[in-house]
Amino acid sequence: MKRISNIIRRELYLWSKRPIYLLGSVGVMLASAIFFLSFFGKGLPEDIPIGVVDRDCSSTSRNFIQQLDATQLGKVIRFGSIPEARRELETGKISAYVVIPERFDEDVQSFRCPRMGVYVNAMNPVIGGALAYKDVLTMVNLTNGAVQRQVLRAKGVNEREIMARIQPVVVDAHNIGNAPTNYAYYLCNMILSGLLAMSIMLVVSYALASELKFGTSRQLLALGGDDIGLTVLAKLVPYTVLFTMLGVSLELVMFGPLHYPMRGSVLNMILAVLLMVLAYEAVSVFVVSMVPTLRLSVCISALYSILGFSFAGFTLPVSSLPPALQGLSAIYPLRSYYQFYVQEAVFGTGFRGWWLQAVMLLVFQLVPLVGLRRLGDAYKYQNYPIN
Amino acid sequence: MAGRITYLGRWLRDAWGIFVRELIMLGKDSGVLLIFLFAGLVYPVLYNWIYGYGVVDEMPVAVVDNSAGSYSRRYIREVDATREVAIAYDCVSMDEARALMERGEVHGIIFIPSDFDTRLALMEQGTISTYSDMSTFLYYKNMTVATNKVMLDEVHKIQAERYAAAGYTGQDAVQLIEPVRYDEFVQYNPAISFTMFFVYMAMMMILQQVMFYGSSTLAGTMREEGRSFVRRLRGRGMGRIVIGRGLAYFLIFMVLGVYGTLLVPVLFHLPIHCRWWEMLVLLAFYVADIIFFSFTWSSAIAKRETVLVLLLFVTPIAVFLTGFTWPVSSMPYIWRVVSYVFPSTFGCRAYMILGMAGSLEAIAPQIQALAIQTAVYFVLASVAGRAESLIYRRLAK
Repeated sequence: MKRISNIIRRELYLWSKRPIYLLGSVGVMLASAIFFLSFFGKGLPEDIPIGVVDRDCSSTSRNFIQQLDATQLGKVIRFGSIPEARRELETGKISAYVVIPERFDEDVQSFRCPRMGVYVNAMNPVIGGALAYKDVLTMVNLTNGAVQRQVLRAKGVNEREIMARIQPVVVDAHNIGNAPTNYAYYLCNMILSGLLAMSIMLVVSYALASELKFGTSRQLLALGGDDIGLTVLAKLVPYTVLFTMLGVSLELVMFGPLHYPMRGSVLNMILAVLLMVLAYEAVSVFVVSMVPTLRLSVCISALYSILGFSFAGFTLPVSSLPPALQGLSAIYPLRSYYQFYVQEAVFGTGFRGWWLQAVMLLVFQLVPLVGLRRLGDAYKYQNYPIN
Repeated sequence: MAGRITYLGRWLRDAWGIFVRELIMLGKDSGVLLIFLFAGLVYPVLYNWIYGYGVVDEMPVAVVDNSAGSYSRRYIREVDATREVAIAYDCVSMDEARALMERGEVHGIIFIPSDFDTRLALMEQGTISTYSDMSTFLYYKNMTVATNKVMLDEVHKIQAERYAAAGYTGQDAVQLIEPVRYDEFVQYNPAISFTMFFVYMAMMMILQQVMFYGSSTLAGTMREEGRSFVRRLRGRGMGRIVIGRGLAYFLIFMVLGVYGTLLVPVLFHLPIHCRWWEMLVLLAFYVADIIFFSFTWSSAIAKRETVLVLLLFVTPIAVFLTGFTWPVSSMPYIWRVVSYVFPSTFGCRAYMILGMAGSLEAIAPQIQALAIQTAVYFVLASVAGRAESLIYRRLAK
């Protein structure tokens, strides 16, 4: 016990002496949290610019444009010609444009079925494109409904029957775990957890390998009574506490004042954070024991953790990755953490849903055992290039 | 004239010397080489590979059909036929379907109430309920697209039946059902695939981040060992140092750039509609910009490992600031201003537009922004170097 507390005290002293430890953890997470929690604003884009080329300029086309402009999603920008609108579409200034043909009004009145052109840029940016597309199509369908209603009213059909004729089938959509389709709900929790993982990898590898670079590893090992297992364990105690606190405060902010949807219990998410912190620390110990050189182990930690965002599967599902790469997602604790989060926050299944993920995260604890001896030797003999 | 060197000659000789020296140091540093070679050469391939397909096809969905009539069966059959969704399970109750969803075997549920067919037969409105798994945006998108497209199609069919019953047939009915038609052109990315927009962005982002982390690591090492480039300076002439070092990186990054923005995307069949020399023009501007950008910001790096530990988190932030998913028009004002700090904001957009529109004319505003940024960062990098050398000299005294 004495040895452990000595090492912890030494670590805390190091934190106070070199700002990199606290800047790399608290500073990084604070900056990221401020950015990502404010970046998405209300979570659903509003007033996406949609171009309109009105070649009819009649009351019907004006009416259509006004209604499109009045939707929450869209904001209309008028263009005089198609090439002009097309250029703006290519450069991403507008997400879609609609061409209202000549004699539009006349053709609608006389049932000659005029055709509108709807051009969408589904790339720059993708959310804008998809939503603008949806907005325009809704408006066109509503216009059709309005024309039908006029005709049916003139025929003396009652309102209830009119609605049943205009839209005989309705889809009543329920969005489980994110009712308002808030984009921030999809991303923030996972991106911030990914950043936490990155910060753990970098700071812990730095802490372990810098002992070698500054030649203080022997002194540290002596404090731990020449027992590398105990030394590493004791050295990581303050990091575990620090990163778990950071992770837990993120969860508390998101599920507390920001009201991110949480079907299950925040307490279980705290358990998930703790397991993820431990798993990433284990991976860092493994990296440093394989490459006990500060510059290389920090580089490898960086290269490894940046790919975690892709392999966790919260943007593109793992089932859509190339089969050869799907297995790689297993080497990322972030993947298990994501599945844990889906079970707890989206479905609220509790233990029966996520026990397997918890076990997967615990399995990472075995990883450092592979190279612990090697790390011990490196600490003792310092027989690796310092830089 | 023998033995005398003009100002220009001196300048060129100094710049050349610094250029060669920087290249030698880059070659000797294993950490920097790891960043340049692994991240610069392997990441472009890896990202193209990971996002090679980029869409979810035939997403498994469960159906609870309590109506079991001809309308509901037709709806289910048509949903099953879409690219987006496949009916994987036919459940007897919502509980069963929910259990499947919780186990992750299906990502959506379609519930058809028992009165669906009856109501349609009575010429009333029928309701279908859908439940989508919102854990990933793509699941939601697939579910929405499939159920709504089929719903619209179904609506038109039923309308035709009803108008026929009311005495409108043939052309009359068609004209009533769709008095306004539309032709849809979802351009550049018809399947709304993840690949297209992500990979374009990633290729340019990799260049900027590799340049920044690599050169900062080297600058940090030099400072740590007291061999900062500014120590080579006697008197004036910061410009030739910045240009000389910049040229070394320019050489490397034009090669990495051609590899990452032309060669790899072509191998992976990413559409690039421009001519190759137009891409080179964009690359020349972009690479110059990221070099001076990195020089400026790396002035603050005093130790070699600190840059990755402290600043790697900037990468995802720069990624979102390019506006590749979240529209720039919906970004908070302050972050829009911050995005102007990064060359990637203009570079990624320009690359994407050049790939789609295929002409330099379309990216004129981005090129202009890159040029202004380059000039500003060149001045800032020189000033920062100058300040550093003054500090050194004061310390030396």
